Amino acid sequence: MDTGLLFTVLIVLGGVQVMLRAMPPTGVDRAQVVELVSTPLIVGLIAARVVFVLLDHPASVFRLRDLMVVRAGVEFWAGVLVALAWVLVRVRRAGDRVGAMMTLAAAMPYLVIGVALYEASCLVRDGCFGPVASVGLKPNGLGSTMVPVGVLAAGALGVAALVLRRASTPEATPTVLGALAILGGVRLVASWFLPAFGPSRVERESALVFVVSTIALVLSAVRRRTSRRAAFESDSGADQNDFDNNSGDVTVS
Amino acid sequence: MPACGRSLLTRGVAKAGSAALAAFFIAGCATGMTDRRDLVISAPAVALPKERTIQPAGLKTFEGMVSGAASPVVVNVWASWCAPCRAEAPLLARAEKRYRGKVAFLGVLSRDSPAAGMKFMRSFAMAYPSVVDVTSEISAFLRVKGLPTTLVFDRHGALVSQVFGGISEQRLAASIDESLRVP
Repeated sequence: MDTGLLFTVLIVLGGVQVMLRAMPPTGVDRAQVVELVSTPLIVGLIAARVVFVLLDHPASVFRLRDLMVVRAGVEFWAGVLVALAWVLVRVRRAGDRVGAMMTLAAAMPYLVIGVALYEASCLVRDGCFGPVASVGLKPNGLGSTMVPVGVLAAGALGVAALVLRRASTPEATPTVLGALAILGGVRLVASWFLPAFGPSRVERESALVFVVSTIALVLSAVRRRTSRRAAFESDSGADQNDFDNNSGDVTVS
Repeated sequence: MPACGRSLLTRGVAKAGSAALAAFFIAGCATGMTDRRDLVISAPAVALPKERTIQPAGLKTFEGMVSGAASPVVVNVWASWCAPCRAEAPLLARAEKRYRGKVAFLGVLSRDSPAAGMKFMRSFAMAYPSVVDVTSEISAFLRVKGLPTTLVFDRHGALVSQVFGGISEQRLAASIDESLRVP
């Protein structure tokens, strides 16, 4: 068995649990968020590996032992999409739309923390390499000191998760789109520096996710602002009418 | 249990969990499946086998192939029945395509039949040749602890990197890049 998989699962699940204890979500049931975060992270990891094997060598997809070798590669964005779809299905099943959306928004920072911990676990998956530099980590077995790109990406995502948690609004759409834009941006930059055999799928996919989610985030912000302004204007118009109607009723005795 | 005691217990569990995580992390880094040792192969040059072939070879022939190549050499010790070998085979095939002309690739089929090896190579479209370690001399010389094992030698036959177990794209690319940096 690939010990990298074992350590990755332990680090991601254990780390998210610790974070949920240290910084519990506000305004929603913690147990609900725990359930909403833990399962999708594991499902996402499995899906990422299965899709990678399907694309790389489909005949191996029915061999469980081949699937367990996570260090051979994962299809990152397939994992994220499956995890997100899983969360959305669970949220929709919850019934109460407003409450469900609040839970989803509250869960997003912890999902990002889960991805950050996955990035940090590159240390145990033999994937934390970057450009040769005078400052950095010397990977076991190599002579050069290298910038640990995976660890830096984990740090960036960790900070982003904390910002998302603080800025978390009851509205799920901006939170989800913001999280996707951050993930896409960090993954894109990391893929520029990670050694690979030429441009990788994850580079192209990260660029696409970053651009699409950023545009969607901006459009959603514009739409929200427009609808708020319209609501404000109609409210003030109604108030003015009320005022006019009321002023007509004033009688001087 | 009183509420205060329960709170202390919860904190204790959280702290123990964090400590266990840190220990796992450190242990994971410390027990990385890699090794670095001084090994320089120097032997009369022997030409590498033709692409997509498997031929038997002894230690002397293998050493000649590695030191005779004018470029860095990636040596992958494998078997068709080994799961991590299957998992990393597409990666090695991609790497061989990417570095063709700059780096030579050589497989060492260990504890397996050439027929099963050929089927495996066709299945994964592996172009680079392999030698069969008939007497297990090569595996013993390379101190192979398990399959797969990947070693990268520079153009002078000096060992740059050795990885026991499945290799990641980043590790393989970093090792090859390091071997190419050797003048």
